[in-house]
Amino acid sequence: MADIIKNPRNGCALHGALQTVQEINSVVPIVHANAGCGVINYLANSKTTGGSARYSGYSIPGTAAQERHVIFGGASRLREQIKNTIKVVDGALYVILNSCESAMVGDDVDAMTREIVEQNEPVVDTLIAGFNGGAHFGYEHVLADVFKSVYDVKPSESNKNSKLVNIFGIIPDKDPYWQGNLEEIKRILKGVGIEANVFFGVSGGVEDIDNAKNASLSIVFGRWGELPAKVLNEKFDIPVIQKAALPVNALEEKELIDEIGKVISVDQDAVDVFLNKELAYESNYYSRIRDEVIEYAIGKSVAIVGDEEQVIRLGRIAKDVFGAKIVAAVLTDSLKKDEEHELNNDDLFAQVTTNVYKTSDQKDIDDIIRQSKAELVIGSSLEVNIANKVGIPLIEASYPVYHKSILNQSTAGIRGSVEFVSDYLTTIKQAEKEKSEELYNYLKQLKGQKTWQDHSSKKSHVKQLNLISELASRESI
Amino acid sequence: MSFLDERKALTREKRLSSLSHFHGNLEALIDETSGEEIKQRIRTFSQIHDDETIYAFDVLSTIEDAAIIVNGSIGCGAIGIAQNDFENFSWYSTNLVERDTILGGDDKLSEAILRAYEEKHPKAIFILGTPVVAINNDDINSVILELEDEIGIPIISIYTDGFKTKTPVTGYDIVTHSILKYLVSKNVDIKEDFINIISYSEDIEDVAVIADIFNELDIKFQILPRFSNVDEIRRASKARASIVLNPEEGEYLAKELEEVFDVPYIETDVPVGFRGTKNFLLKLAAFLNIEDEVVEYIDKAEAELSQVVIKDVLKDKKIFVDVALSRVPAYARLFTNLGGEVVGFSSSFVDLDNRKQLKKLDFLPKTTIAIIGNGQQFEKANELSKNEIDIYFSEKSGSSFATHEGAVVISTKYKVTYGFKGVEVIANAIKKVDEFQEKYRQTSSYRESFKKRSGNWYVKQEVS
Repeated sequence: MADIIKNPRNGCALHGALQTVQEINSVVPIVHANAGCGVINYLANSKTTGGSARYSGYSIPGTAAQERHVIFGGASRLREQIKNTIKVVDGALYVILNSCESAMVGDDVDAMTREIVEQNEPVVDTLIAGFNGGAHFGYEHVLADVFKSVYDVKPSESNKNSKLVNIFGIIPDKDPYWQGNLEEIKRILKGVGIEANVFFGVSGGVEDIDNAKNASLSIVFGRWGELPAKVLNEKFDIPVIQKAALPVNALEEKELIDEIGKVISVDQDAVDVFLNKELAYESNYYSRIRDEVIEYAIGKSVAIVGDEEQVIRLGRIAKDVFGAKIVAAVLTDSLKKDEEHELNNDDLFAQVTTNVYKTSDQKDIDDIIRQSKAELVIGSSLEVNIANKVGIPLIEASYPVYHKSILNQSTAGIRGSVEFVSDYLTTIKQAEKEKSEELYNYLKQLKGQKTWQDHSSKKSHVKQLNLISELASRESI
Repeated sequence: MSFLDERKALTREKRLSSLSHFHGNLEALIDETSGEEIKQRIRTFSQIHDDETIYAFDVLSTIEDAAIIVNGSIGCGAIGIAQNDFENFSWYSTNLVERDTILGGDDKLSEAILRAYEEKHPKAIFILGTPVVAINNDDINSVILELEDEIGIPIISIYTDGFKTKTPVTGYDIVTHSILKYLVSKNVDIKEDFINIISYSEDIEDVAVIADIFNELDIKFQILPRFSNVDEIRRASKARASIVLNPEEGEYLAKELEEVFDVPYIETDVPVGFRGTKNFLLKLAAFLNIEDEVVEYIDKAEAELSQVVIKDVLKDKKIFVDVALSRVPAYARLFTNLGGEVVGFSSSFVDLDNRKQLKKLDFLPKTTIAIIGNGQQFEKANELSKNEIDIYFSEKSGSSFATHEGAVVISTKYKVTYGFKGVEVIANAIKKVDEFQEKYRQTSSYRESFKKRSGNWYVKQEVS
């Protein structure tokens, strides 16, 4: 039984399903719930800002169910809403999302969907309710449910594409860098002649849903994409590759491409050229920071808080680039109904750290960080308080990230890793600067006291003063 | 009769016949709302909107030494993410799952109360109701009775459910009812020399502007329930008087404080616009017998404002105003004075109390478009497009949809709007209106066939 949660961060299955659907261009969500269920998701995500999709927030069609619909059932209200949504809102596909309320009342959502589908309208539904799981669960299930029925209700061309792959596991909003990460994966695959169906963001859209059945492979990063990939595998015999996390260096990109190469043909010469460029990019930037890495003793003890995939990914960068020691890994993605997943990362974690925790409770997380003796936290904005209390720097990289606009920035692939490395270095340097300022102020405070004045004539202080005056005189010359 | 005799607050629909579904013109709206009861309507197509649970959480989250438990599924608990990340702000979710919807979530609620008490040492604990708990009919009161003696602080149930009202401000009423019943001190023999400034939805910038004025006029005050603490709420009954920043939200508290605890209620306009702010201050001054100082203060502000406000800056511009009904007259007058033509307005609700605002719009044509609804951008898009409106003035989130309909948006989000400072800020915002928003103009989200229809196509009379 799930426990009480302090500062729950991820939302429910409805929220996950909603933020998934609204990020597919030309797809219109229809929320069958009381008025505020979907709004909560919007308010939470707009605080964390990666921008908002066209059909998000207050523009989302919804039944805004009232007491009478709870008492007498809300199916007829849903029927009315679906019919009128098609008349008012311009969409290529409509996805009906269920809620706790409708599930408890027992509305026959499926029957309402079938009714409108019989009129040749492109409408699908998902029956998961908010209390069935977290947002990650919602992402996975809504995509699976869409693939189960979309090809029966929306005509699309069947034309197998030997170079097309589906990408699953990068969850809109739950990965604050989802837009940039999708773009980066697309870039990497394009570099070796592979087209990626990413579904969301700048190059995603309803066409990717149409085309998903024509792909020759599905790639799942992390565990939260297994289900839609499985549905496509069962229905269209599309093979699946699963990786624990997105790649973060040239070697991992090579491993990914090699694995893809076992399923679909890739031009090996093009792969070599691309990977050499990637390696050169990586080497160039990492060699530029060699002095800072050594001089700042940047390989800190690090606690990482976030989704499992993010923890693995960011942990790898911290460990490989900076020699950091991962003293605690806190996995905040809801792991309920985890029996559905095949991915087992236990061995992988064993190589990184022995301290792996699964919780999204703020008190647990704060206690873990405090006890870990970490020198740096990679987490969300909810970890600001504990980082301040313990007096260690924080890199905000997992959901939610407040007061930071994240659009095309990335934390995956070579380019994303370099961006993350840059953030990491900046954070350490700023922390060092703050430490120096504190020490300076401390010395100034001591200087005001007699004991310090006694020491003030000693050479280090005097030497410093001389240096400044020398510099000034040189400038005047 | 005081409403406090009721166990929980009545919905706005029951108490004040609140209407949140209307689309027509000013004349029809005045006609519709002029009787003893307002007929309810429904929308057969709607868009999602705030509910009373969101409003209640919003105001509770600013009471600094209280703990909040969101008694519901994990998603309802995510509302805390949307709040300002004040240092050390935290909240709890009972995280009800499918099993709890069958067997009840009472045990989890007990656990959450004890945990919140041990970890936060709050002066009061609020339990926010959600749809799952309401449908399940969990016995919250038994849990409270069992634990209140044990922990020795008030444990207060906020009877929100997300579906019994179409008027989200009911969430404020529910919070008000609970704090009046369980927190406000019943010992009212001695009054103290301060004024309750009642605020529910105002941003910190607007509250700070009003607090500044009080400070300048040397009037002692406390703000509640927003940005308050439990002790301040307790002291509300000892105030010399109460004044409300937005009467359609806060009048319930002010009137009950007057009726039950003999705290006079200074009835005023919202301090928006020059006239609104002036009336607000003059009423306050009359009560405190400080007219001379206040008149001097107002004259000084007027002289400063005359430098900023440019007549005819809105000449030939058609404007649609989307704000709380209590603020519509102030903005409509301001824009009219600046040479603009206010062709329509939209507000979340109208009820038997705030309908008086409609009469203050007598300077507008009777044919002025009037939309009453929470959100419902599609109806506004219909009118913006059809009437070729130039400026969409809004205090709502997500207002950029209006750019797709050809309007330029002036948003009051993240701007000061209250007091004389607010007039200056709005006047400057108007001056800056330009066409840079072209960049954000995209194809409309709504079908042309719908926009050619009457905007009230999906608003129907409720059949009971």
